[in-house]
Parts: sequence; structure tokens; C-alpha cells
Amino acid sequence: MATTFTIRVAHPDAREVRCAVEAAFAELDWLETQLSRFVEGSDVWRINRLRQGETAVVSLPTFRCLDQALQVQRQTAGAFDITYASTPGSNPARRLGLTPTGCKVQKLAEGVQIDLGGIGKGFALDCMASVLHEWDMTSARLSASTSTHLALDAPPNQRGWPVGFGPEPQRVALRREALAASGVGVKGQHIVDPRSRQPAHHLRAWARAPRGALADALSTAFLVMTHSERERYCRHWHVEGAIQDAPTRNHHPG
Amino acid sequence: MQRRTFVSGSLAAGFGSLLLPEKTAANAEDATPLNLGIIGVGLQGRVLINGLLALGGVRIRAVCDMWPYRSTGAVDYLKVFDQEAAGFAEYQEMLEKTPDLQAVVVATPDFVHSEQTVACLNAGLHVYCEAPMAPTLDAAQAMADAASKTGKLLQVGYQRRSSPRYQHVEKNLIQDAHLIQDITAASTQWNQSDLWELGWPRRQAMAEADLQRYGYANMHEFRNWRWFRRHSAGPFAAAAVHQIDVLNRMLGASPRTVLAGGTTGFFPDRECHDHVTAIFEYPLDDRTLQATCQVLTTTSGTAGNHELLVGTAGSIRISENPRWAAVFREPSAEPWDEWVRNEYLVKPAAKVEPPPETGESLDRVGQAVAVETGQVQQYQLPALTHQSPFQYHLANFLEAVRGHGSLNCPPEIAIPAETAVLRAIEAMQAKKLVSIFE
Repeated sequence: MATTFTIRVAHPDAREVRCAVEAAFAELDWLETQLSRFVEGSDVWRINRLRQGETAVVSLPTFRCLDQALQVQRQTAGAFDITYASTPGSNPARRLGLTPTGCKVQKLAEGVQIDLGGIGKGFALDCMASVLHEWDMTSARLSASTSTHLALDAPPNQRGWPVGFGPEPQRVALRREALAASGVGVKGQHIVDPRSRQPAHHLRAWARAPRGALADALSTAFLVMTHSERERYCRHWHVEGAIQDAPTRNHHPG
Repeated sequence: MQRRTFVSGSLAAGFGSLLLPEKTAANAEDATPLNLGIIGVGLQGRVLINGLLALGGVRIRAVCDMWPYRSTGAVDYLKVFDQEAAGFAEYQEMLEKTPDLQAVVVATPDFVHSEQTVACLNAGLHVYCEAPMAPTLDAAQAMADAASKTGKLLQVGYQRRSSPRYQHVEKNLIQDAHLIQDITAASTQWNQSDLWELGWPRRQAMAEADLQRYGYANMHEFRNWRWFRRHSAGPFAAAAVHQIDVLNRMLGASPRTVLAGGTTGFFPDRECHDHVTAIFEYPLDDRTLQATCQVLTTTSGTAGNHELLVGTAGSIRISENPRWAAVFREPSAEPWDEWVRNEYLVKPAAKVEPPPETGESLDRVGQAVAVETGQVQQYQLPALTHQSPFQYHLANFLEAVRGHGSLNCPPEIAIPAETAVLRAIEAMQAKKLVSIFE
């Protein structure tokens, strides 16, 4: 994922925290071997090399990540699409078939390529948070770079974990929810609208949602969705979004 | 706390299988499923279970782990894959109550490999056992003897034996092309940071009386068993057996002597060596070759884990991680264009270089000519690997169990590397040159 992950835990026993955090990072290492399209033999590597009609059995985390990604794809009518790099021509909604029993992934069209870059970091944070829960580390903030944050319970005597949100930026206290940002301001134009193949409409987008994977994926989708599409989505699915347009700094709460 | 994760990449496009036939998952799925048991479902057990599920053609009927936290989790995980596995704490009970098993995968701490493997072989089962075989030569030999006596298959988990990349280097680059000509030196390094102890969720702790029954003083010792000499020959052995085996197969020989030094001081609470450097001497047909072997547990830097073969015409650096694998041509060597055309090598796209210095050389008739100063040229290995390294090795094991082909790493192949590495530990302790096969 080529990203710095950070975990902050509020807990009285530093050694216990160290072991729990190491376990969470071990989970991250494991996920990297499954979700990266660059790691030889990873689940994503194998899926990308299937031919049309072939099926791969993947690990449960990979299957869950794909399932969540396809859900967001449906909910955003294709504004978020992990198959955006596929050979054009096939129907984006009919590129992958998922069978829960056995965690099977079938490639439904030739030339389908998947890239979990828009959801993988958030998904990894969700999985790492599960590990912390197993260790009874309930008050923590997990971050992937500065772009995706997942908060568990608030630190003692705090409303939440402070994180900047939106173009102003507005400081929010994050608690049992995630916040993610995507943009083309720092890395340059690297996001295209999967529906039109046109560059992203906005300079930056933020999403605030119950899970890391969802926030991560939505921040990418919001970058290419119109204001009305985003506002409709946020109302329907009870999430929060914000946009910064270039070159004027317009804030449009979702 | 922060950590940077690195994505390793292979820039090479997909190539043909060259001399290396590949098995596909479809082959396995067409076959009658094999009934398997797994002993040890910790971190490595999880890797192997996922590898088996991805290969298909197996029914995992039983999982065994002394830690209920692990065995329960594995049983639940397998249900997602329609695999109704029974969970056990004791392998003896697993063998008794699951009579239809055909093979067992052993992924437990090193010191119980031998006991469990021998018991499974004696019960008429084929065994895939993680490497290293055992912390002592007697225990490793007992495994080999049991396989020989029972006629059952024992695959030792040197997964590089089944890796298409390593097979390509051995069969195509070294044996077929003689690419680097005479190999005159070799080295291995395994840099893997192992700074922190492994813990456990407090509510999942086992009672000390139960732990002692399995040979551990407490949870700390159980979770960090590789630090303790009575459970393991340590990180050096765990890494070096793989790499010495790579050198053995590439050189077609086994080392004769070893000189080694190591420290235990960096981690005062660990019994096994944290840093080791060993020099193995290989007798080749017309010369001897020195190979250095370094294992560090305090850093993951500087090219991670790899093996380097140095020859008169070039060098080959091999690794499970493709980012560390490369081939270097000596300036004086014959051009390798033929091997690029044959897809044995990949030549990186030409870079714009600064104007070369010039020097004098002699042409074929002895005339002095001005030529560019030679530079070592770097090539890549073709991308041949499409599964995880363990999948290839498991696939080879399952195929052999089905009666198709032979094992890539039976014990007689592994024993020389196990012997060499355990002798290196003796050399460290004795602080003297040790003969490996006395």
C-alpha cells in the first residue's frame, strides 16, 4: 500500500499496547500479501491474471474487500469502480462475480483488471481495528497516511479523536467512525471518472462514514461525482461528504 | 507507532513457461479431493491453509492447535469455504478420530516437528512439514528414517524448491545457458527485523499448567518460542536452511566446512543468536568456493532476503521478492542478447546515460581501438511466478500424493542443508572451523 500507517492507543499499559499494535501491523502485512496488485501471487494478482470465465478462490479478507467495493460501486452508480483500469467495452457492473461460499471470484469479461487502491487502505484500517478489539484496545485512532482515519472509542475525557475535515478545515472529534480524503492537489491528476474517463471534477473530496473502507471508497467517488449526485448519496446513505473545487475554494457540505 | 509498508513490484510482462511446466488450479479441482489435517494454525498455518484453499482439490477435515484461540478461529474460517473441519488440541486425538485423513500439514514450532511428523508417517499419512525440519540432527534424521521406513511422502517446506523463479535460475540460466560461467563465490543474506515480542490477547491466555504440558513455561515463551534454544535452533537456522539449500542446488554440491560467528547480546532476553555470519566452504570439481551467509534480526534493510551467485561472466541475485532479484553481466562477458531473445532474461529499457569515458583496447587483429569503458549491465528475471511461493510447493506435494510426479523436497534433499546450518551453530559455540559431514 506504500503508505505510512499510524496507530494511537489510549491505554495504561505501554507493553500491552506495543504487543497489540504489533499484532495489528502483522495483520496489515498479511493483508498486503493478499490485496496488492504488485505482490506476485497475491489474490489480486491472481484475479488480474484470470481469463474470462475462470474462478479464483481468495482469502476471506480479500473477498470481503471486493464485496464492499462492489457494494459501493452499485450505490454510487459506478462513480467508484475498482475495475476502472479494465479493457473498455465490458459492462462495469458485469465484470466480476462473487460467490460467498468458498470465497470465489469469477472474471466475467476479458481484460478485467482490479485495483483496490481506492478502498484498500480503509479496509486495512477496519481489519487492524478488529485486531485491536480482540486485544481489548477500545480507545484508538488508526491512520493510513494523512488521508484515511478510523477512530474507535474516544480517549478518556475527550469527545473523540481530533481530525481535520473539509477545505476550511473544520476540526471534528472522530469516534467510532472513519474519515477519508482524496484529491488531486498533492499527487496531481491521477483519478478519472470511471463512467466518463474524464479527469476528476474536483480538487479534493472528504467522506465521513461508519467504516474505513466505506469512507476511503466514498472519498474517491465524491471526487468524480457531481454536487447533486453527492448530496443525494449522502442523504440516502446517511454519510457526510465535502468538496473543494479548483481554483476557487468552495465548500459544499454534502 | 508507525510503519511503512512496501509494495514490491515486477515490471516485467508475463512470459511463457520456458522449461517449467505449470500446474493450474483447474488440474487440482478435477481430481478427487484429498482429505487433509493441519497441525499448527498460527501465522504460517494461515498462509498454508489459504494456499491449499486457493489450489482447490482438498478437504481439510481436521485442524489441530494447542491454543484454542487458534483452533477455534481456524475451524470457523474454514466453514466459510464449506470445509467442515473438526478442531483438536492434541494431534494424537486428531489421528485417532479422523481416520480418513490422507495427508497432514505440520506448521508447529520447530521442536515438535519431528515427533508429530514421525507419528503421522507411522499412522500411514503423507506429511508436508514446515522448515526447518528440527533443532537437532537426530530429530531431523528420525523424520527422514520414518519416511523411508513407511514409504510415505515427506515434503520439507523449502518452498524455493518449487518456485518457478528459482527453477528458472537453476535449470535455464545456470545449467542450460551457463550464463555466469564459472561460479567463484556466493553469499546469502536474510535481513528481517524481529524487534518486538509477540503478545496475546489477555482473555485468550492459556493456563500455565496446560502450557507446561506442551513444554512451555508460560505464554511469553509459547508465543516467542523461536527465541528459546529448547524450542528452536533460532532465527539463523530458520532462514539459513532455505538459503543454504538454494546454494546447494545451484552449485550442485554441499558445503564441507563452516566457520561462524554470532551474537546474542542485542536482545538480552533471547537465547538464540540475533546476528550470525557464517562462511561455508564448498568443494567443487576444480576448486573450492567460499559462501558467506548472514542473518540479521535487527533490520529489514539493504535488499532484504536474497542469495547471490558470483561468476566469471556475471552475477545472479535471486530472491522470493522480485524487487531484489537481478542479473548482472560483466563488461568482458559475451553479449547476452540471445538469452534476452529466448526470454531467459529481460533487458530493462535503455536509459539515457552520460557520455562514456573512453579507453584503449585491442581489436581482433591486435590493433589498438578506442572503446567505451565497460559497465556492468543489469537485467531482470522474467516474471514467472503467478501464485504465492507456498502454493507451488503445496501443489507439488498434493500432486505427488495423488501419484503424479515426485516431491521437490524430500528429506534426503533437505538433510544436507539442515546439517550444514546446525554445524554452523556448533562452529559459533566452539569458535572454530567445523567439519560438516564427519
